[in-house]
Amino acid sequence: MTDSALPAAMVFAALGLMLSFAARTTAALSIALAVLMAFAANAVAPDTIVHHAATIACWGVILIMAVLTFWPRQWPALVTISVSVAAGFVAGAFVATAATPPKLWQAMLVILVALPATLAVERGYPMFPRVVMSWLLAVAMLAALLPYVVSHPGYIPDHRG
Amino acid sequence: MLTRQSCTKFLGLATLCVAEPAFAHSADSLAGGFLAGFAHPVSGLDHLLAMVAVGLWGAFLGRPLIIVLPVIFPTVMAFGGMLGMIGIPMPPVEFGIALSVLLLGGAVASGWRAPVWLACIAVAVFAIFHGYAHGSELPSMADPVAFSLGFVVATGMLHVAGIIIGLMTNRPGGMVLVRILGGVIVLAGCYYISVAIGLVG
Repeated sequence: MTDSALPAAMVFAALGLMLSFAARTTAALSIALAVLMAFAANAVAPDTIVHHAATIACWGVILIMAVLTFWPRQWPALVTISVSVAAGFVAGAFVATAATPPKLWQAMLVILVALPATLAVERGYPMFPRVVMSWLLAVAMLAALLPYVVSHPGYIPDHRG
Repeated sequence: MLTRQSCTKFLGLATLCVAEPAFAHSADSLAGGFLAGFAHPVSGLDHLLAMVAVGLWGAFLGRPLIIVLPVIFPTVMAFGGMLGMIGIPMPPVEFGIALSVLLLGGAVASGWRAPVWLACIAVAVFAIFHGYAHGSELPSMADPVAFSLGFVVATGMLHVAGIIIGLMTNRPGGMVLVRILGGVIVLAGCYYISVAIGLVG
Protein backbone atom coordinates (compact mmCIF):
# COMPACT_ATOMS: atom_id res chain seq x y z
CA MET A 1 0.00 0.00 0.00
CA THR A 2 1.31 3.41 -0.91
CA ASP A 3 1.39 5.34 2.31
CA SER A 4 4.10 7.83 1.50
CA ALA A 5 3.67 11.48 2.34
CA LEU A 6 4.19 12.33 -1.32
CA PRO A 7 0.67 13.58 -2.19
CA ALA A 8 0.64 15.79 0.92
CA ALA A 9 4.16 17.00 0.16
CA MET A 10 3.09 17.82 -3.40
CA VAL A 11 0.17 19.84 -2.05
CA PHE A 12 2.54 21.88 0.10
CA ALA A 13 4.97 22.28 -2.81
CA ALA A 14 2.15 23.58 -5.02
CA LEU A 15 1.06 25.88 -2.19
CA GLY A 16 4.58 27.29 -1.89
CA LEU A 17 4.74 27.90 -5.64
CA MET A 18 1.32 29.54 -5.71
CA LEU A 19 2.16 31.81 -2.78
CA SER A 20 5.35 33.01 -4.46
CA PHE A 21 3.05 35.17 -6.61
CA ALA A 22 1.06 36.53 -3.64
CA ALA A 23 1.80 39.61 -1.55
CA ARG A 24 4.11 38.96 1.44
CA THR A 25 1.44 39.42 4.10
CA THR A 26 -1.07 37.27 2.23
CA ALA A 27 1.54 34.55 1.75
CA ALA A 28 2.56 34.57 5.41
CA LEU A 29 -1.06 34.45 6.58
CA SER A 30 -1.88 31.70 4.07
CA ILE A 31 1.04 29.54 5.21
CA ALA A 32 0.11 29.98 8.86
CA LEU A 33 -3.52 29.04 8.21
CA ALA A 34 -2.59 26.11 5.98
CA VAL A 35 -0.27 24.66 8.62
CA LEU A 36 -2.91 25.20 11.30
CA MET A 37 -5.59 23.51 9.18
CA ALA A 38 -3.27 20.62 8.36
CA PHE A 39 -2.69 19.89 12.03
CA ALA A 40 -6.41 20.33 12.77
CA ALA A 41 -7.42 17.93 9.97
CA ASN A 42 -4.72 15.53 11.07
CA ALA A 43 -6.25 15.48 14.53
CA VAL A 44 -9.89 15.00 13.56
CA ALA A 45 -9.82 13.36 10.14
CA PRO A 46 -9.44 9.63 10.87
CA ASP A 47 -13.04 9.20 11.96
CA THR A 48 -14.64 11.37 9.34
CA ILE A 49 -12.75 11.25 6.08
CA VAL A 50 -11.90 8.34 3.85
CA HIS A 51 -8.31 8.10 2.62
CA HIS A 52 -9.34 7.71 -1.00
CA ALA A 53 -11.40 10.92 -0.89
CA ALA A 54 -8.53 12.77 0.77
CA THR A 55 -6.16 11.57 -1.96
CA ILE A 56 -8.47 12.76 -4.73
CA ALA A 57 -8.88 16.07 -2.89
CA CYS A 58 -5.07 16.45 -2.86
CA TRP A 59 -4.94 16.18 -6.65
CA GLY A 60 -7.95 18.50 -6.99
CA VAL A 61 -6.45 21.22 -4.83
CA ILE A 62 -3.15 20.99 -6.79
CA LEU A 63 -5.15 21.54 -9.97
CA ILE A 64 -6.81 24.64 -8.48
CA MET A 65 -3.48 26.02 -7.27
CA ALA A 66 -1.98 25.43 -10.73
CA VAL A 67 -4.78 27.45 -12.32
CA LEU A 68 -4.19 30.29 -9.84
CA THR A 69 -0.44 30.18 -10.55
CA PHE A 70 -0.84 30.30 -14.31
CA TRP A 71 -3.52 32.99 -14.21
CA PRO A 72 -1.99 36.17 -15.66
CA ARG A 73 -3.52 38.48 -13.05
CA GLN A 74 -3.14 38.37 -9.27
CA TRP A 75 -6.11 36.89 -7.41
CA PRO A 76 -7.78 38.65 -4.47
CA ALA A 77 -6.15 37.78 -1.15
CA LEU A 78 -9.32 36.08 0.06
CA VAL A 79 -9.18 33.54 -2.78
CA THR A 80 -5.52 32.76 -2.08
CA ILE A 81 -6.16 32.35 1.64
CA SER A 82 -9.22 30.16 1.07
CA VAL A 83 -7.34 27.84 -1.29
CA SER A 84 -4.44 27.68 1.18
CA VAL A 85 -6.78 26.67 3.99
CA ALA A 86 -8.29 23.97 1.76
CA ALA A 87 -4.80 22.77 0.80
CA GLY A 88 -3.75 22.48 4.42
CA PHE A 89 -6.94 20.63 5.27
CA VAL A 90 -6.69 18.00 2.53
CA ALA A 91 -2.97 17.43 3.15
CA GLY A 92 -3.61 16.92 6.87
CA ALA A 93 -6.55 14.63 6.16
CA PHE A 94 -4.53 12.58 3.69
CA VAL A 95 -1.75 11.98 6.21
CA ALA A 96 -4.19 11.23 9.03
CA THR A 97 -6.15 8.61 7.08
CA ALA A 98 -3.16 6.69 5.68
CA ALA A 99 -2.88 3.10 6.88
CA THR A 100 0.57 3.83 8.28
CA PRO A 101 0.51 7.62 8.64
CA PRO A 102 3.70 9.36 7.57
CA LYS A 103 4.94 12.38 9.51
CA LEU A 104 2.95 15.49 8.61
CA TRP A 105 5.77 17.91 9.40
CA GLN A 106 8.01 16.23 6.83
CA ALA A 107 5.46 16.91 4.10
CA MET A 108 5.09 20.46 5.39
CA LEU A 109 8.78 21.21 5.01
CA VAL A 110 8.34 21.14 1.25
CA ILE A 111 6.57 24.49 1.54
CA LEU A 112 10.08 25.96 1.83
CA VAL A 113 10.09 25.80 -1.96
CA ALA A 114 8.26 29.12 -1.61
CA LEU A 115 11.60 30.78 -0.75
CA PRO A 116 13.48 30.16 -4.01
CA ALA A 117 10.21 30.55 -5.93
CA THR A 118 9.59 33.98 -4.38
CA LEU A 119 13.18 34.91 -5.11
CA ALA A 120 12.70 33.91 -8.75
CA VAL A 121 9.48 35.93 -9.05
CA GLU A 122 11.06 38.98 -7.39
CA ARG A 123 14.07 38.80 -9.70
CA GLY A 124 11.78 38.76 -12.73
CA TYR A 125 11.78 35.04 -13.50
CA PRO A 126 8.17 34.00 -12.78
CA MET A 127 8.53 31.22 -15.36
CA PHE A 128 10.53 29.02 -12.99
CA PRO A 129 7.76 28.47 -10.41
CA ARG A 130 5.29 28.05 -13.28
CA VAL A 131 7.38 25.37 -14.98
CA VAL A 132 7.73 23.44 -11.71
CA MET A 133 4.00 23.85 -11.11
CA SER A 134 3.35 22.28 -14.53
CA TRP A 135 5.32 19.23 -13.34
CA LEU A 136 3.15 18.93 -10.24
CA LEU A 137 0.03 19.38 -12.36
CA ALA A 138 1.12 16.58 -14.70
CA VAL A 139 1.70 14.18 -11.80
CA ALA A 140 -1.62 15.16 -10.19
CA MET A 141 -3.47 14.47 -13.45
CA LEU A 142 -1.90 11.04 -13.79
CA ALA A 143 -2.29 10.13 -10.15
CA ALA A 144 -5.95 11.20 -10.09
CA LEU A 145 -6.73 8.65 -12.79
CA LEU A 146 -4.66 5.79 -11.39
CA PRO A 147 -7.15 4.29 -8.92
CA TYR A 148 -9.78 4.02 -11.66
CA VAL A 149 -7.65 2.30 -14.29
CA VAL A 150 -6.62 -1.15 -13.18
CA SER A 151 -5.84 -2.87 -9.91
CA HIS A 152 -2.10 -2.48 -9.62
CA PRO A 153 0.47 -3.35 -6.98
CA GLY A 154 0.71 0.17 -5.58
CA TYR A 155 -2.87 0.07 -4.35
CA ILE A 156 -2.89 -3.48 -3.01
CA PRO A 157 -2.10 -3.58 0.70
CA ASP A 158 1.08 -5.51 1.45
CA HIS A 159 1.91 -4.07 4.85
CA ARG A 160 -0.24 -2.99 7.76
CA GLY A 161 1.01 -1.18 10.80
CA MET B 1 14.17 40.92 0.41
CA LEU B 2 15.10 37.27 0.18
CA THR B 3 18.69 36.59 -0.69
CA ARG B 4 20.08 33.58 -2.48
CA GLN B 5 22.21 32.80 0.59
CA SER B 6 19.24 32.68 2.97
CA CYS B 7 17.34 30.42 0.56
CA THR B 8 20.30 28.04 0.34
CA LYS B 9 20.56 27.92 4.14
CA PHE B 10 16.84 27.20 4.55
CA LEU B 11 16.84 24.46 1.92
CA GLY B 12 19.99 22.89 3.34
CA LEU B 13 18.42 22.83 6.79
CA ALA B 14 15.24 21.34 5.39
CA THR B 15 17.19 18.57 3.67
CA LEU B 16 18.91 17.70 6.94
CA CYS B 17 15.57 17.62 8.75
CA VAL B 18 14.00 15.10 6.40
CA ALA B 19 17.02 12.77 6.30
CA GLU B 20 16.11 9.39 7.74
CA PRO B 21 18.00 6.14 8.34
CA ALA B 22 17.86 3.68 5.45
CA PHE B 23 15.57 0.68 5.76
CA ALA B 24 16.33 -2.61 4.09
CA HIS B 25 12.67 -3.18 3.33
CA SER B 26 10.50 -0.26 2.40
CA ALA B 27 6.73 -0.04 2.60
CA ASP B 28 6.54 -0.84 -1.09
CA SER B 29 7.93 -4.27 -1.72
CA LEU B 30 7.85 -3.98 -5.50
CA ALA B 31 10.21 -1.97 -7.66
CA GLY B 32 8.95 1.24 -9.24
CA GLY B 33 9.26 4.34 -7.12
CA PHE B 34 10.70 7.79 -7.71
CA LEU B 35 14.12 6.57 -8.85
CA ALA B 36 12.66 4.08 -11.33
CA GLY B 37 10.48 6.86 -12.74
CA PHE B 38 13.40 9.27 -12.85
CA ALA B 39 15.53 6.70 -14.68
CA HIS B 40 12.83 5.98 -17.28
CA PRO B 41 13.33 9.02 -19.56
CA VAL B 42 17.04 9.29 -18.74
CA SER B 43 17.92 5.67 -19.52
CA GLY B 44 16.12 5.65 -22.88
CA LEU B 45 18.26 7.64 -25.30
CA ASP B 46 15.31 8.28 -27.61
CA HIS B 47 13.33 9.92 -24.78
CA LEU B 48 16.41 11.80 -23.61
CA LEU B 49 17.27 13.23 -27.03
CA ALA B 50 13.69 14.32 -27.71
CA MET B 51 13.47 16.09 -24.31
CA VAL B 52 16.78 17.88 -24.82
CA ALA B 53 15.68 18.83 -28.34
CA VAL B 54 12.50 20.41 -26.93
CA GLY B 55 14.65 22.55 -24.61
CA LEU B 56 17.09 23.42 -27.40
CA TRP B 57 14.29 24.42 -29.75
CA GLY B 58 12.56 26.45 -27.02
CA ALA B 59 15.79 28.33 -26.27
CA PHE B 60 16.35 28.84 -29.98
CA LEU B 61 12.84 30.24 -30.51
CA GLY B 62 13.05 32.51 -27.45
CA ARG B 63 10.10 34.03 -25.63
CA PRO B 64 7.38 32.91 -25.12
CA LEU B 65 8.21 29.40 -26.37
CA ILE B 66 11.27 29.00 -24.14
CA ILE B 67 8.77 28.74 -21.28
CA VAL B 68 5.63 27.56 -23.03
CA LEU B 69 7.17 24.40 -24.53
CA PRO B 70 8.51 23.03 -21.20
CA VAL B 71 5.10 23.74 -19.64
CA ILE B 72 3.07 22.19 -22.45
CA PHE B 73 5.18 19.06 -22.72
CA PRO B 74 4.71 17.55 -19.22
CA THR B 75 1.05 18.57 -19.09
CA VAL B 76 0.20 16.93 -22.42
CA MET B 77 2.53 14.07 -21.58
CA ALA B 78 0.32 13.38 -18.57
CA PHE B 79 -2.65 13.20 -20.95
CA GLY B 80 -0.69 10.72 -23.10
CA GLY B 81 0.10 8.79 -19.93
CA MET B 82 -3.62 8.57 -19.19
CA LEU B 83 -4.24 7.14 -22.67
CA GLY B 84 -1.47 4.64 -22.02
CA MET B 85 -2.92 3.60 -18.68
CA ILE B 86 -6.40 3.15 -20.07
CA GLY B 87 -4.92 1.24 -23.00
CA ILE B 88 -6.49 3.32 -25.77
CA PRO B 89 -5.02 2.13 -29.09
CA MET B 90 -2.49 4.51 -30.63
CA PRO B 91 -0.38 4.55 -33.78
CA PRO B 92 2.93 2.73 -33.15
CA VAL B 93 4.34 4.54 -30.13
CA GLU B 94 7.98 3.64 -30.83
CA PHE B 95 7.62 5.13 -34.30
CA GLY B 96 6.05 8.29 -32.85
CA ILE B 97 8.91 8.70 -30.38
CA ALA B 98 11.49 8.10 -33.10
CA LEU B 99 9.73 10.64 -35.32
CA SER B 100 9.81 13.17 -32.47
CA VAL B 101 13.58 12.74 -32.17
CA LEU B 102 14.00 13.18 -35.92
CA LEU B 103 11.71 16.19 -36.38
CA LEU B 104 12.66 18.05 -33.21
CA GLY B 105 16.33 17.53 -34.02
CA GLY B 106 15.58 18.68 -37.56
CA ALA B 107 13.90 21.83 -36.28
CA VAL B 108 16.98 22.68 -34.21
CA ALA B 109 19.45 21.76 -36.98
CA SER B 110 17.65 23.81 -39.60
CA GLY B 111 17.04 26.70 -37.23
CA TRP B 112 13.35 26.61 -38.08
CA ARG B 113 11.53 29.52 -36.48
CA ALA B 114 8.09 27.96 -36.32
CA PRO B 115 5.03 30.06 -35.43
CA VAL B 116 4.08 29.80 -31.76
CA TRP B 117 0.88 27.84 -32.42
CA LEU B 118 2.61 25.33 -34.70
CA ALA B 119 5.51 24.73 -32.30
CA CYS B 120 3.00 24.19 -29.46
CA ILE B 121 0.95 21.69 -31.49
CA ALA B 122 4.03 19.79 -32.68
CA VAL B 123 5.47 19.47 -29.18
CA ALA B 124 2.06 18.52 -27.74
CA VAL B 125 1.58 15.73 -30.30
CA PHE B 126 5.03 14.30 -29.56
CA ALA B 127 4.40 14.61 -25.82
CA ILE B 128 1.40 12.29 -26.20
CA PHE B 129 3.63 9.52 -27.59
CA HIS B 130 6.22 9.93 -24.84
CA GLY B 131 3.51 10.05 -22.18
CA TYR B 132 1.86 6.96 -23.62
CA ALA B 133 5.12 5.03 -23.30
CA HIS B 134 5.55 6.07 -19.67
CA GLY B 135 1.87 5.65 -18.82
CA SER B 136 1.51 2.13 -20.15
CA GLU B 137 4.10 1.00 -17.59
CA LEU B 138 2.68 3.06 -14.76
CA PRO B 139 -0.08 0.79 -13.43
CA SER B 140 2.37 -2.04 -12.75
CA MET B 141 4.53 0.11 -10.51
CA ALA B 142 4.64 -0.35 -6.75
CA ASP B 143 4.37 3.38 -6.09
CA PRO B 144 2.83 4.89 -9.21
CA VAL B 145 2.65 8.43 -7.79
CA ALA B 146 6.37 8.45 -6.97
CA PHE B 147 7.09 6.88 -10.37
CA SER B 148 5.04 9.61 -12.10
CA LEU B 149 6.83 12.31 -10.14
CA GLY B 150 10.16 10.73 -11.06
CA PHE B 151 9.59 10.66 -14.79
CA VAL B 152 7.96 14.10 -14.90
CA VAL B 153 10.82 15.69 -12.94
CA ALA B 154 13.40 13.93 -15.11
CA THR B 155 11.60 15.11 -18.25
CA GLY B 156 11.48 18.67 -16.92
CA MET B 157 15.15 18.62 -16.00
CA LEU B 158 16.08 17.37 -19.46
CA HIS B 159 14.14 20.31 -20.91
CA VAL B 160 16.03 22.66 -18.62
CA ALA B 161 19.31 21.04 -19.70
CA GLY B 162 18.31 21.60 -23.33
CA ILE B 163 17.43 25.23 -22.60
CA ILE B 164 20.76 25.83 -20.85
CA ILE B 165 22.65 24.34 -23.80
CA GLY B 166 20.38 26.27 -26.19
CA LEU B 167 21.22 29.57 -24.51
CA MET B 168 24.70 29.18 -25.98
CA THR B 169 23.17 30.64 -29.13
CA ASN B 170 23.74 34.05 -27.52
CA ARG B 171 27.51 33.47 -27.60
CA PRO B 172 29.77 33.68 -30.62
CA GLY B 173 29.79 30.37 -32.44
CA GLY B 174 27.10 29.05 -30.14
CA MET B 175 24.46 28.97 -32.86
CA VAL B 176 26.59 26.71 -35.04
CA LEU B 177 27.29 24.39 -32.12
CA VAL B 178 23.60 24.12 -31.25
CA ARG B 179 22.68 23.39 -34.85
CA ILE B 180 25.37 20.73 -35.06
CA LEU B 181 23.86 19.20 -31.92
CA GLY B 182 20.50 19.27 -33.69
CA GLY B 183 22.13 17.43 -36.60
CA VAL B 184 23.41 14.73 -34.26
CA ILE B 185 19.88 14.34 -32.87
CA VAL B 186 18.58 14.01 -36.45
CA LEU B 187 21.04 11.17 -37.11
CA ALA B 188 19.91 9.42 -33.93
CA GLY B 189 16.30 9.98 -35.03
CA CYS B 190 17.05 8.31 -38.40
CA TYR B 191 18.45 5.32 -36.54
CA TYR B 192 15.40 5.06 -34.25
CA ILE B 193 13.05 5.37 -37.23
CA SER B 194 14.87 2.56 -39.03
CA VAL B 195 14.61 0.43 -35.89
CA ALA B 196 10.91 1.25 -35.50
CA ILE B 197 10.08 0.22 -39.07
CA GLY B 198 12.27 -2.87 -38.85
CA LEU B 199 15.11 -1.90 -41.17
CA VAL B 200 17.64 -2.36 -38.37
CA GLY B 201 17.33 -5.18 -35.84
